[in-house]
Amino acid sequence: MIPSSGMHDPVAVTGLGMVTCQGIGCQRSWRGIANSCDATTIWKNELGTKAGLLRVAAAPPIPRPPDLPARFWQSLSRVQHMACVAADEALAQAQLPHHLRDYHCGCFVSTSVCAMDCNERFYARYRHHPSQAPMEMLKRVHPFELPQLLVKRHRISGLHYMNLTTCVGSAAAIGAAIDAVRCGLVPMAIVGGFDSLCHLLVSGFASLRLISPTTCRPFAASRDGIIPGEGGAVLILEAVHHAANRGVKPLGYLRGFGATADAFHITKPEPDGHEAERAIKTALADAKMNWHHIDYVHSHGTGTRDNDAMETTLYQRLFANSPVRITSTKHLTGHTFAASGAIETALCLLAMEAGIYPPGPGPQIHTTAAPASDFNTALICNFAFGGNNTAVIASHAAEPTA
Amino acid sequence: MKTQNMPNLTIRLAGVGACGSGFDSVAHLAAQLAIALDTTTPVNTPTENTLDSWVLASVQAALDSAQSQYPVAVERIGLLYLSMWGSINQTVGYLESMLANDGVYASPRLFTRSVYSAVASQTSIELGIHGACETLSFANLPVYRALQRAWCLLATGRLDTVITVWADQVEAPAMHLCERATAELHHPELARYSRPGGGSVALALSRPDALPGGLELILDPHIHTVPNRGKALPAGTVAAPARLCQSGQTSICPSIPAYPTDGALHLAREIMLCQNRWDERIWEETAAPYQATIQLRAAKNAR
Repeated sequence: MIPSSGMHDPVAVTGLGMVTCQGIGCQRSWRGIANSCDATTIWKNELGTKAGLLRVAAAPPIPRPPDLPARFWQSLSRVQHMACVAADEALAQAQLPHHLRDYHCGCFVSTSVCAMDCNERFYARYRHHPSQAPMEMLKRVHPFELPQLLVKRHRISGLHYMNLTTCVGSAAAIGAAIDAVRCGLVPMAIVGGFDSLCHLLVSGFASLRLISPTTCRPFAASRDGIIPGEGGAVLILEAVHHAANRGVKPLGYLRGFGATADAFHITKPEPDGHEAERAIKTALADAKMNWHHIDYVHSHGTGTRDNDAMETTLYQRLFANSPVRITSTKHLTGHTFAASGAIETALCLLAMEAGIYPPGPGPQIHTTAAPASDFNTALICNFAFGGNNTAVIASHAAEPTA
Repeated sequence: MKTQNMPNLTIRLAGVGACGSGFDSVAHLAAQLAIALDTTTPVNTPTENTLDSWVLASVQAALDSAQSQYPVAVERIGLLYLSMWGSINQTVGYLESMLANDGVYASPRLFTRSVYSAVASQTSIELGIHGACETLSFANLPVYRALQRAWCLLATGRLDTVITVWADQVEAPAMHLCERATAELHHPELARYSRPGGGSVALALSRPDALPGGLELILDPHIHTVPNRGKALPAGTVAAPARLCQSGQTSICPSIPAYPTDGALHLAREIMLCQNRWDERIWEETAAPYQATIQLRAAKNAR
């Protein structure tokens, strides 16, 4: 049997948690981004490889939650550290207990590197002395250890879902959680994405000559690459009636999701963005909305030549002369890879709450943005290696405003 | 909103594909399995990049089968890809290029191939799949949970066909690490990964109303918790059919040693047996402490 109703219902967001290079917690992160603070630093190359002098957007040290023993905390990877503090913040804001056994909650998360910071330290020793490399370091080796930590720590009894689709990972996790709530598989879900800086990632993007030697300049003619970043965000999603029954006022709503694949190239986007456009149109149809409902577009805006050229072509076709603001915040957060979708969706919800558009550069196309006080609906676009495209539509009010 | 009230989740099987170390088609696999149940089959050690070619071949076979039965628009086809080790050879290759010679020759080609989702991306490019392509990982019940996600994508109308593919390739250093982890970390279950080989199993899935006949996979929405090892709870709300089959205990094909592909292989075997005999089966996926149930049944209008 296939459910036939509620497949386009909005899903409430009742809690947010965030870690970025701007700080730990939503308020610190949002304050830094709203004030356009430059939080980039020089990459500490602990393995001594000649990756060059590179700028990165590193998050501050993560404090250990009191319920986790120090030795156990030290054995965890950095993405697990970020997941713990972001989940704690989101659960507190959603007025949920630490243990969720009674809520049939789902867990939908994403990462692209997971414990690679631990793995590459292990491998650096293993390649010289295979029998002496400490196997304890491999305990967190597999990506599914990330959701397992949240599942065990918060006694999550519902669906588990782990997405590894690089830069669209957490946006896809948001989409999967929306589907699961609408289908009635779970009434609520912890959703998030996390990625940490590691040598493989920094060196890999450097080998592709995609890291800017100076700074990230999305959509600028002089743009020359990304600033690798780390961070993560957690969103608590609930069926609207479930949040109402708990007496919790939603921070906003997720209304639509779309995902497509270019089937074009292993790293480059399809230049005209036709499949990216289809992802956006799918999200609009999913939300039962029209173009004129969109007030703001958080573009992927990485600062690379190919991505930003594709996005400029795309938005020129879709939004020229429309009342919409388009920006990217990756010059302030760095490119946080699989965490991008969750962080940027959370930022848009915070921006709508504050009544200001997220700051940042946008594509050189003529638009006529509505006053920020009317900012109610955001479209968040993410694109990834392999031509994966996602679009998420978030709004502040329960009903869309034209 | 309680899942206790959830109906069973039904999806229609539109095609099966398999390729791996020791077999290159479903028919070959069926013959292989008939032997492998009782005897040991020699294993061909896979060569470099075989994971990509296994996945491509199995997905192509499943997709061809689906497209021969009903019209499938490429933008309405999606891909779910699951793997334990992913492209570990490429990752190790990249780490070597990064660490050797101070990283001066870090390979951009190996880096892009080391990404977990590279296999799914490459498959979507080769076959022109334009629907959502998700690379997933589950700590337990990788077959059931992937099918549950496929059901969601079909039930919400996002896609008309979902190709779900489980694939793994095991060779050094993964084998060596598993051997050591088995001994030093006391993880006996890792012994299953310390054998060379691998393969890929793909299922093409559609909504129940998409096809006039074929086989239905009916997922019990309840995942049971097994209270004591070896003592499973009853199969739940699914009506008792003729046969009860279990996975998660033993590997049925020596050339597929790795999770999650061996689970998918168990299911593929039951599908083939069910299709040949037109009977009904219940397939249980067990990963302590969890147990999930999938009923295999010929669609009513296929009889």
